Amino acid sequence: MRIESIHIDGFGVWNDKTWGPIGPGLNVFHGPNETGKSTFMAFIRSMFFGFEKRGTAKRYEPLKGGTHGGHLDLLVGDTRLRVERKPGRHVRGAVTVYAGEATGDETALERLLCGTTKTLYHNVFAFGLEELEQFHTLQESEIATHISGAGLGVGASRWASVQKDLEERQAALFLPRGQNSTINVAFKQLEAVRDDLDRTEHQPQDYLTAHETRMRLAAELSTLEETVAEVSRRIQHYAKRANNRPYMERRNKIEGWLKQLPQVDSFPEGGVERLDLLQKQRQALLDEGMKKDREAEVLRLRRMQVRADSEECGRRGQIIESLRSLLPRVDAAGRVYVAGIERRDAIMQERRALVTGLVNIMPPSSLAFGLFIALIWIGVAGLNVAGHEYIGGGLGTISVVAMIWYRDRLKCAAAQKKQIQECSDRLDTCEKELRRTENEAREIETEIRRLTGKNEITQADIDQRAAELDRLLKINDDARLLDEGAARCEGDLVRIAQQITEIDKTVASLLAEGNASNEREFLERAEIYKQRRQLRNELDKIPIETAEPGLLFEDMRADEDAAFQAAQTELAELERRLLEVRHETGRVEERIAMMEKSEERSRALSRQETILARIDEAAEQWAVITLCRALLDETRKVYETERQPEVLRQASSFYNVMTEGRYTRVIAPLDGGEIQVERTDGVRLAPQVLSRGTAEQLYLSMRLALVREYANHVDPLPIVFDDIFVNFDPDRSRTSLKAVHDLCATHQVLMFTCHPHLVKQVEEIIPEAKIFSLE
Amino acid sequence: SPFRGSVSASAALKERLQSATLAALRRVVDHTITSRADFLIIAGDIYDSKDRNLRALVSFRNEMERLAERNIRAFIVHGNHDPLNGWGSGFQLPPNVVTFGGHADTEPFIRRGREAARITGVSYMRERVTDNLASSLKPDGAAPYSIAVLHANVGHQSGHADYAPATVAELSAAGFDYWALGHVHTTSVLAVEPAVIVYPGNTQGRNPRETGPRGCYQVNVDTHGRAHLEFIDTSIARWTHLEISIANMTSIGQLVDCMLQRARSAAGSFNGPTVARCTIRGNGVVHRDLQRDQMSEELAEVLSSTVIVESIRIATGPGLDFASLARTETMVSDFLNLADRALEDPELRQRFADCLAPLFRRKELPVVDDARLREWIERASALGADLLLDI
Repeated sequence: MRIESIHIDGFGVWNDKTWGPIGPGLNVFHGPNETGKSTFMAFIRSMFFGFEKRGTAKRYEPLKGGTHGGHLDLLVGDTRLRVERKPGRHVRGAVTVYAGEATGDETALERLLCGTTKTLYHNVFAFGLEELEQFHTLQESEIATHISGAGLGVGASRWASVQKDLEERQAALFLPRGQNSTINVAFKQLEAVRDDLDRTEHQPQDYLTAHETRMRLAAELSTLEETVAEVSRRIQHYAKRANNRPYMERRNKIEGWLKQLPQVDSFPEGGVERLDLLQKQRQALLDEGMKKDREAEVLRLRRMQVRADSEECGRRGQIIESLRSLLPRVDAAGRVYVAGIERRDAIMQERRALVTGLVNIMPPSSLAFGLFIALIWIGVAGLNVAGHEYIGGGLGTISVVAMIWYRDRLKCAAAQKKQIQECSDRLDTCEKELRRTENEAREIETEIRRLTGKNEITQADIDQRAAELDRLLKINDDARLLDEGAARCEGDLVRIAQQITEIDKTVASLLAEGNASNEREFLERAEIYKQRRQLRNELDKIPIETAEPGLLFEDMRADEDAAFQAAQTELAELERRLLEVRHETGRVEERIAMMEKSEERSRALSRQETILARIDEAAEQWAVITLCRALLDETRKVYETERQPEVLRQASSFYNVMTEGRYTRVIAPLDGGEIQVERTDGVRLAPQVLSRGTAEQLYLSMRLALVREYANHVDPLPIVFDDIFVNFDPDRSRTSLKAVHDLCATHQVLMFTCHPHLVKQVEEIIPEAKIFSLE
Repeated sequence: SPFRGSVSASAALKERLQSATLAALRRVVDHTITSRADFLIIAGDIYDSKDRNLRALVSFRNEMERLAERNIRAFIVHGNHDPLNGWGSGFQLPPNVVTFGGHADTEPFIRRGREAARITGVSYMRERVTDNLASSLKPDGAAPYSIAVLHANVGHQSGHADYAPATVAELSAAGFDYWALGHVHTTSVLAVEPAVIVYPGNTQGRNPRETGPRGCYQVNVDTHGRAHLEFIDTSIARWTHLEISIANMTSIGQLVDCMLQRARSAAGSFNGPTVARCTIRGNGVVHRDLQRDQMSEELAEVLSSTVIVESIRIATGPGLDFASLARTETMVSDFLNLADRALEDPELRQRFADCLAPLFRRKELPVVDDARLREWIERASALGADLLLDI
C-alpha cells in the first residue's frame, strides 16, 4: 500500500492543504520547527486509526478552519482508493473508504490494514523520537517481548499490558498461595463449610447410634417392666403371707392337735344325749317295775281278805233287774188298760150315740139295726164280760139312741151307720188291745210270782232287794278290782321288762355306732369327736392360701421378712430405673426427631455445592486465562527460536549498514534476557552501554527489520519518521539513510525533518527522493 | 445429592432449588401412588454416602413409608455413590422396600395371589465395581415378566465412571424382558427389542450440564408382555443451556433480544423454575462491547426477568478473520497456529494441561477431561488473539 496524495481539510495548524503526488520511495517533508511536521504525521496516523481522544493535544482539532480530517488517496495493489475521515458520532470519527463506486466503513479500512493495530503502526511504522526511545525506557525484561510484540504487530506496551492484564486476571481468580483471589476465597469458604460438615459428620452416626440406643432402651424397658411385675407379684405374695401368718400358725397348731387326738372321725348324731336319755328311761322303767311289784304285793294281800260270790249277785241283780223292768210294765199296762177302757167306753158311747143318732135319723134296716144291736150287744157282752156292765148298758142305750137317731135321720142313716161301723171297728181294736193288756198283765203277774213268790210287788221291796244287791255287788266289785289291779301289775311288769330289754338293745347299737365298747369309752370318744369337730370348724374358718409353687418352701419362712424387705428395696430401685429409662427414651426420641428435622448438614452440603459451582466457574475462567498465558509464552518461545532470527538477521543487516560494520549482530537471548549487540571483535554489549546515537540506531534497525519482517506477510504499509535522526552525527545520518534507502525498495517512506543538512544528505544519497517543503 | 449451582435468586427460591432433588423424589413417589403402580424400582445412587446427609436418608425413608402406607413395594439396588459398605446402607427402611444385596438375587412380585413379575438385582458392595455385574444377573425362564435392576455404565458412556461395564448387545442377549438401569444421568432408551433397556436418568438435573426434562419412566406392561414406556418429568427446576453465537450480530441489542427469546422459549416449555446457563460464543463485532466490565452481570440481570440465571459466560472472539490471521506468519499467527496444534496434538495439549495443575490438582476440582481442555484451549486462543489485537 502506498499513499498517492494527502489532503488535509482541517487538522491542527493545517487547513485545506494537498500534497501530491507522493513518490513510491522516500519522500522528505521539511520545514522549520512549528510548521506542523508532527501534526502531519499525526494526521496520517489518525486517518488510518481514528482521531485521538477529545481534549488531548494529539487530537489536533482544526485551528485554522476546515472540517476536522481530510483524505488519503491510496494505491493498494492495482486499486486506487480514497480513505476519508470526518468527525462522526464516535470519537475516532467517521471513515469512508471509496473504491470506485463502492464505499466501505471502518471494517473495510481494517481489512486494508490487514489487522495491523494502532499500537503496532505507531510503534513500528509511524514513529517519532519519543517512540524510538521507548525501546530504551522499557523494562529490560520486556525487551524480548517488545521485539516479539513488534514482530506480532503489537506495540511493546500492548504486549506487556496483555501479559499484565492476563496476569492480573489470573491472580484475581486464583493464586497458588494467595488469600484474596476469588478461588482462594472460595476455597476458604469451602474449608469453613467442610469444617461444618466435619462437625456434623458424626451427626448421622449419632442418629444411627441414637436409633440403636432407642432400641436398646426399649428392650431394657420391657425387661424392667417384666421384672417390676415379677417383683410386685413377689411382694404381694410376701404381704399376703405376712397377713396370713397368724392363721397359718393357728392352723398348724390345730393340725398338730388334730394329729395328737385319736382318730375319731365319725360319731352318732346326739349320741351322748341319746345315751343319757336311754339310761334315764331304763332307770324310770326299773323304778316303775319296783313300784309295780310292791303294788302287786299289796293287792295280793288285800284280795286274800275279800270273799265274793259273783253268781248270787248276778242272780239277784237279774231279779231286781227283772222286777225293775216289770214295775213300769205293770204301771204301763194298768194305765193302758184304764185308757183302753176309757177309750172303749168313749167309743161305745160314741157308737151308742151314733146308733142312737142313726136310729134317730132313719130307721135302720132290720139287718143293720139288728147287726147294730148285735154289735152293741157284743159290746155290751164284752163289757159285761169285762165287768163293765154299765158301759155295756150305756152302750145299749147309745145303740137305742142310735137306732132312734137312725130312724130319725133316715137320710143320714147311711153315714150314721158308717160312723157306727167305724166306731165298732175302733171298738174292736180297743177290745183287742184290752185283751192284750190283760194278757200282759197276767204275764207280769206270773212273772212276779215266779220271782217273788208273791203276786204283788212293791217299790220298797224292790228297793230292799236292790240295797242287798248293792252290798253284794260292792263286795264283788272290790274283789274284782283287786284282781284286776293284780293282773294289771303283772302286765305292767312284763311290759317294763320288755322295754328295758329294748333300751339295752338300743344302747348297745348306739355304742356300736360310737365305736365304743362301753359307755365310758363312748363318752370319751364323744368328747374327742366334739373337740375334733370344733378344731376342724375352726380350721375351716381359717382362710386357706392358694398354693404357689416355689414360694411355699418352709425354709423360706425364716428369711421371709428379709426377702420381703429386699424385694421392696429392689422394686423401688427397679421403678427408679424404669423411670430413668423412660426419661432417657423420651430424650433419645426427642433427639432423633430433632436430628431428623435438622437441616444443618444438608444446608452445609448445599452450600458446599454452591461454592463448588462457583469454584468450577472461576476455575474454568482461570484455566482459560492460564492456558492463554501458556500459549502466549509458548508463542513467544516459538517466536524467539523460529521467528526472531529472521527479525534479528534483518536488524543485524540494517545495524551493520548503519554502523558501517562496527557492530555485526543483534542478539536476543532466549532466556528472556535483554537484547544485546555484538561488535566485530565479538564483544556483546547491552544497549545501555551504547552511545545514545548508536543505541537509537539499534532501535531503528530493529524497527526496520520488523517492518521488513511484517511485510513478508502483509501488504507493506507506508512508513512515517518524524525527525528521528536528530541525535545522529552526519556520518551516522548518512549510514542510516543508506539503511532507509534499502527499505525504500519495498516500502514507501515519508520522512519529516527540520534540518536542511539532512535534506541535502538525502538529495546526495538518494537522488530519486521527492522533497516537499512545508513552508 | 444437593443441587449444584450458584444462582442469584430469592431465598425462598434458593431453598426450593436446594431441596429440589428431594422434592423430585417426592414427585416420583406421588406419581407412583397416583398412577397406582405396582412397584417402584430405583437403580442405585439414591444418596451419596460421602455426603452423610441424614436429611436425604430420612426423606428417602419417609417417601418409602408413604409407599408402604399404600402397600406399594419398592425394589432398590445400591450404586457407586451409595455402596453397601458406605455410610447409610444400614439405614432402616420400611418392609415394603426390597434392597438387593451384593450378590444377584431374585424377588417375585405377587399381585392378587399370582406372580406377576420377577425382579432380579444386585448392589455395589463397594464404590468401585469394575466387574461386569450384568453377567451375574440371570433371568428365570418361568417368570411371567423378568426385570433386571442394575447400576452400570452400559456402552462405556463418557462422562460417567466406567463401573460395572457392559454392552447393550450383552444385555439384550441376557434374556430379561426389561433392564432398569441406573448410573447415567441422562434419559436414554438403549434398546426395545428383544429387551427394553432403559436409563431413566436422574429425577432432577443437578448441575448446568444436566439440562432438559429429568424424571422417571412409568412402564406399563400389557398382557402380551410388551412394555409401554411413558416418561414422567419429575424435575422441580429445569436446567437449560443457552448457547448463543454473536457471529452475525451487529449490536448488543440484537444479542439481548436473542438471549431473551431463547430464554423465554426455554422457560415456556417447563412449568417451574428454569435455571439457565448462557454461553455467548462466536466471533463478531459485538465481542468488543462484551469485554466491558460487569457485562455478564448486566446481561444476567436482563435475563433474570425470564429465567433464573446461573451464569453468563462470554467466550466470544473479535470480529477477525482468524483464518487469514493465521496465515500472516506474525506472532498472532504463531499464537493461533500453536493453539491449533495444541488442539490436534494430545501430547502438546497435555503439556498445556500441566500448567493447570496448581489449581486442578486439588481434589475439590474435577479431573480435566479432554473435551473441556479442548474447549478451554479454543477459548484461550480467542482470548489471546483478542487481547493481542485489541486496540
